[in-house]
Amino acid sequence: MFNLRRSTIRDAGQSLRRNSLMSLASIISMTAALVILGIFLVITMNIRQVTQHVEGNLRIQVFMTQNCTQQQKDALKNYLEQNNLIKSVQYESKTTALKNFSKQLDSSSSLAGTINSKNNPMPESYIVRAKNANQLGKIKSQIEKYNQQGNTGIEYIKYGRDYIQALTNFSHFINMFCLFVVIVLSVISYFLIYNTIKLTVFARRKEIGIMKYVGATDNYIRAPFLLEGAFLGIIAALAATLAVRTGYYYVLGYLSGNALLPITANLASPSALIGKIVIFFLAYGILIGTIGSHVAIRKFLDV
Amino acid sequence: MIEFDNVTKTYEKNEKDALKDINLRIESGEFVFLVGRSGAGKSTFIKLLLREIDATKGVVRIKGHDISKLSKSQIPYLRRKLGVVFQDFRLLENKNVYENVAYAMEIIGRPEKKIRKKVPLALSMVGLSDRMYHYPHELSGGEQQRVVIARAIINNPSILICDEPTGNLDPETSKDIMRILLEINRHGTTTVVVTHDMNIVRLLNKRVLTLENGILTGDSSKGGIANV
Repeated sequence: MFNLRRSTIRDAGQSLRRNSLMSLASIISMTAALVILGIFLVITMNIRQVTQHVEGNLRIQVFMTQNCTQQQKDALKNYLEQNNLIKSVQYESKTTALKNFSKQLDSSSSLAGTINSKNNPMPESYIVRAKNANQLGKIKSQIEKYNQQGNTGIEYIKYGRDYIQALTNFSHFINMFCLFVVIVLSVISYFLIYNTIKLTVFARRKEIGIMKYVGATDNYIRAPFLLEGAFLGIIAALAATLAVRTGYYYVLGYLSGNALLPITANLASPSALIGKIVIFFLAYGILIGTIGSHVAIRKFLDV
Repeated sequence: MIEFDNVTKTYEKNEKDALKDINLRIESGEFVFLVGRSGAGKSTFIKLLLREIDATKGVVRIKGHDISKLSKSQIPYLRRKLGVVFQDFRLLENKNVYENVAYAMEIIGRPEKKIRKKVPLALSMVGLSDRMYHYPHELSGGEQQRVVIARAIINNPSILICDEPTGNLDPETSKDIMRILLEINRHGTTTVVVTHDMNIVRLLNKRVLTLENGILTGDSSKGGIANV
C-alpha cells in the first residue's frame, strides 16, 4: 500500500530526532501503560493456568459404606463406566485410602499411631473424572439419582465444586478488571501518540503543503508519519516486555525462595508467557501507534 | 487546455461571489496574464485550477476533463500536470537548491538515476547551475524564485501557473524571471501568470485577462483593455 522508499524512512527518522523529547515522553508513557497491562496479563494467564490445573484434577469421589457388597461395587462401577460424560473411573481400596491419608498426616500426630491396617476406618471409593470439568455437576446429580434406587452401597458423594467456583469467579473478575484497564490505558496511549505525531505534522505542515502542490499522494505523505507512530509503539512494546519479563523472573524467584511450593509449581513458565506477551505488545503498540498517527495527520492532508 | 464554463465561486462565509459567471478558454501553449487588484478573485482562480476548492456553479476543464469529477485520490495526479510558482517561494529551508528541486521528483516516485540527470538540467535552464548546493537563505529573492520555477517544471507539467511570481522582486530581477517563463512557454508549456504588476504585463505583448470584483471584465484577445 505504501511506498517504503528510502526517503520515507529518512523522514521518519529525522522527525523522531527532531522531536526526541516528545517521542521519548510518549514511549515512556506507552511503556508504563503496557507494563501495567502486562502485570494484569501475567496474573490472568497464571490464574487460567492454575484453574486449568485444578479443573484437570477435579473429580467426584463416591465413598462406599463399610459393609457394602462386591455386587454393589460392581453394579456401581458398571453404571459409571457406561456414562459417556465420564473420562475415567478409578477404584481406591481401603489400604490405598489409608496410605494417602497417612501421607497427609504428620508422623508425630497422635492419630498416626492409632490407625493401622487392622483397624482401618477409611472407606473404599470410586474416583470419577469427567471429560469436561463443567459437566461434573451433571454427573454428580446422575449418581445421586442412581443412589435413590436404594441398596447401592453408596455412603457419600464428594465433589469439590465450591473451590473451583471461587477460582472461576476470581478469574472472571480479574478478566473484567483487566479489560477495563486495557481500555483506559489504550485511550491514554492513543492520545499520547496522537499528540506526538500531531506536533511532528505541525512542524512539517509547510512541507506537507508543498508536497500536496507538487502532486504527492496522501499515502506518500502519510507513510513517514505512520512509520514514526509504529516505531514509537514498537519501542514501547519491547521496553515493556523487558520490564515485565524481569519483574516476573524476580517474583517467581521470590515465591520459590519462600517455599510457597504448591503455587509456583503450577505457574506459567516465563519463556512461554513472555513469548505470548511480546507478540501481543507488538501488535498493540503498532496498532495504537499507526491509528494515532493516522488521525493526527488526517486534518493536515485536506489541502 | 483550460476552460471555465460559467464558473461561480461563493465562499460560505461571505455572501459575495468570489468569482461570478467566468467564461474563458486558454489554448494549449498559450501565455496568458491574469490581472486584477487584490480581492478581485485571482487566488480563487488558482485554487479552482488546483482543485483546492470546488466551483459553486459551472465547470472547470483541464485538457477537456471536468476536474470536479476527479476523486480525492486522483487530485495528486491532476496536480502533477500543473507546475505552480508561488509569490512566497515555499522552499524547504533545510534542503539545498538541488534537494528542493529533486524533492518534487522524489515524491512522485521518479527513480534516483533520473533525478540525478534531470535536476541539473532544470537548474541550468533557470541559470542556477553554480548555486546547486546553496541553501535558500543563502540566495537572493530572484534566485529563490528561479529555484521555485525549476521545481515547478521538473516534472514536465503541461500547465505552469505562476501566482505573483515577481511580487517580491525588484524590476530588473522581475524581467529575468519573465524571460525564464517565456523560455519555458516557448518549449510548449501553457503558462498562466497571475499578477497585479502592470509593468511586466506591458513589457510583453501577451494575452491579458482582467478580473474585477470576481467578474471577468477584459480579455485582450477579444479587444478588451487591461486597465488595472
